[in-house]
Amino acid sequence: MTQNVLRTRVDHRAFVVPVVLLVLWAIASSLRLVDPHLLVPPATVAATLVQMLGGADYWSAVGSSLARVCGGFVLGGAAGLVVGVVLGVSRIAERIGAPTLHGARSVALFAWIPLLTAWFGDGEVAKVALIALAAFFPVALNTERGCRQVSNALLEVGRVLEFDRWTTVRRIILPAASRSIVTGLQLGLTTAWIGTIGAEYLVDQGTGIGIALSSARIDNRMDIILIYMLTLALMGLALNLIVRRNVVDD
Amino acid sequence: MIERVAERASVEIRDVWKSFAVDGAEVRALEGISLTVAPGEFVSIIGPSGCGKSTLLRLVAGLEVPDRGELWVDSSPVTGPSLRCGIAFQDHRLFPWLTVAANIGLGLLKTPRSQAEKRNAIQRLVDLVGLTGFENAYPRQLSGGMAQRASIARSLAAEPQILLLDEPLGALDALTRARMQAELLRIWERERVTVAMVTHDVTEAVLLSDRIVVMGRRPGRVREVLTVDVPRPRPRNAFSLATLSAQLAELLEGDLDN
Amino acid sequence: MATRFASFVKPIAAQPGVCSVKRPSLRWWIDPRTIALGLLLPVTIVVAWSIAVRLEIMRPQILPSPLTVLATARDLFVGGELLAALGISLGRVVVGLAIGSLLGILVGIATGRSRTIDAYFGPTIRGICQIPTIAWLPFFMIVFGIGEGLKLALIAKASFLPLFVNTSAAMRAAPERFHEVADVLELDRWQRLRLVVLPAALPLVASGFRMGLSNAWHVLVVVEMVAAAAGVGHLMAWSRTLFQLDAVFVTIVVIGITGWAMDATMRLIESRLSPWTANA
Repeated sequence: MTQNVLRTRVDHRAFVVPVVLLVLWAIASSLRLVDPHLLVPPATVAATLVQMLGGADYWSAVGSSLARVCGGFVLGGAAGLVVGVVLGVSRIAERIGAPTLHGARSVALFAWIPLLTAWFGDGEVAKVALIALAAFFPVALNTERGCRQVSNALLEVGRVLEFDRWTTVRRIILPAASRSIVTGLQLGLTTAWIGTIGAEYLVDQGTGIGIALSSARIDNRMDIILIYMLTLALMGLALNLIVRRNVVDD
Repeated sequence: MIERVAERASVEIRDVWKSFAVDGAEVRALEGISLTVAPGEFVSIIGPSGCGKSTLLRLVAGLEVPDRGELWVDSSPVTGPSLRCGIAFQDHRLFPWLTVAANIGLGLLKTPRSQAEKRNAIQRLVDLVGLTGFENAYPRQLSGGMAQRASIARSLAAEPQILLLDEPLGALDALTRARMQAELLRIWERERVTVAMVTHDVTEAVLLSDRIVVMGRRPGRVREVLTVDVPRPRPRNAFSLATLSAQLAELLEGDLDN
Repeated sequence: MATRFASFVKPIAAQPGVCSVKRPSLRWWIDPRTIALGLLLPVTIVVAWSIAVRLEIMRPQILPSPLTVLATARDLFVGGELLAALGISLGRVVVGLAIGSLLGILVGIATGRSRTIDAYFGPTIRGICQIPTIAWLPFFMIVFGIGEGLKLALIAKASFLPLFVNTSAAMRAAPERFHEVADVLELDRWQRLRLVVLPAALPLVASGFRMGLSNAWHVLVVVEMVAAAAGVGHLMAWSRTLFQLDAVFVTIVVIGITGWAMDATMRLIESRLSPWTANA
């Protein structure tokens, strides 16, 4: 699978539309068709880009976001794995925990922010908590499903060989569920990334891409916004390559 | 009851060659195949896997184009897939979103008949293949044998001149297969179509066909054409059939060693 | 003259010998033991919560008692505030979803059916969709201000992607072997569209729509939290500003239930529309 991703022939037709849009953009802004604050000329954006890449702010923002997503993902992912395995292996645990888990998942992710900021203030804790929460659900749900869907045929082999509970989990369930677990982790990372940007934007404190976006909007700097949006697009593509799956929903 | 109006047709295959590109290399599927099927005949095409028998059938159906040579159905050349060949695939290929009746009715879409006539035609076919009562069932509710029967009914709907069967009974268990073989014979005798059937089952070929075309592989070519001189109806355990089966089996085994 | 199959497509009645259609098992609902176990955790949480309030583990402003929350819920509901907010929110979702899904379907059909169009426009569209919706918020805010346009634009963007991706894939959902059957049956272009392409595409488009709805709801909540004067998201953010955490709790629950209800309804519709898929 890695080979396919690396060896993909670049289809040159893909570049036609972006180039055309760029040209139209340049023409439109030079003709002052739209308010220049709204439609910042590409030259200005390019200049700002160079400036930003040379400065420290941009890189510290990107770095902070990356650090946060890693921290939150590790926390949420670990918790998700544990909960997922427990719910996936034990029938009683599933009956007790699954309804609550599925219910909590129904709540739109960012709806937790007001509560989290009320409890933990405007600092890092609230943000990382949200990121962890974002990662938690996909990991827990996919892990649970993977463990629960291990075929009975394999489990029977374990019973015949008199495996105890722990050995069954270690030798049969986890390997069999590994595909679902990996999927869950991939989805968890993607969701955690979205959660990071959102949390940073909504809890407007410290450094990060989301915070930079918020400041740029307040200052009405469309060029900075566009640059960060481009950054996010590229990072998103990179994330897809790592995760080897397309982001379908937010 | 509507009687068959179409003429049964002959099939002529003249010096047909066909290659495929597989992983960059050229695979010669068929080499210099020539064959004639008389109108109303039941012909089986048998051979080891990879001998190109399915490809041959698809060429007659017009789903593939030969590199060299010609195919004629009823004295007109094959230029593409058409309703004059009814074809039933090994995977039944019923549309899962349509009922049995609707699937069969697909073969009648092109016929200029009234609603009532079409309904009658469909009912006749349903009864013919023994699926009475299942007109409104969906394919996922049918067993393998039933789905295959529906597929055959669909291929007969447009009253084709020839019926092409690509290992139609291959996916069925032995008991169902035996029953379906009897059904096929009954349908063939009733409809009096020309049938070309691809199979890998020796007993089946011997039981059903007037002639058997034995194909070899690498390259795919016609090795022998056997005539089954046993009068119908043929009892399953007739001695003559058994001898012929043994002969065939030996022929095929010899090819496997190559 | 195209044959109408309406007369043949009857509801699946129980017929002798026909395997029964798998119906979603409703029994988990009714089994008392399962319900009891399922409620065990929430009840425990509520009890622990009450104890925490009693012991004043956290300041009462930030951890209201369950009874207060219940009372607030009743007040908000009876006072009509909640339903009004919900109505506004749902209205925005409906309009935004309609715009986004329509665009998504149209573009999906174009890129799905024509490889050329897909080669030119596909990568750009997919690249743009990499940007998380929330990052579009500042952009749209500058462009549209903080009026209805902002919300609709964001909701439309969020619902566009799943429909675009799924519709595009759906156009090629009919396997080649069905097209061969269509070839042999000499179906013309319209018949092929009606009988092969569209039915095969339906399950994917339906599930894309369900994801679009879910996205739309999530995005709506965020937008309303940040830039709105009405709606459930605004209600929640406003309550938070006033440190009325009981109201915040209530809104969280309402948001969750509404989201779940919409998803469950869509799943039901999906399975009705395409009963032949394995997911039915």
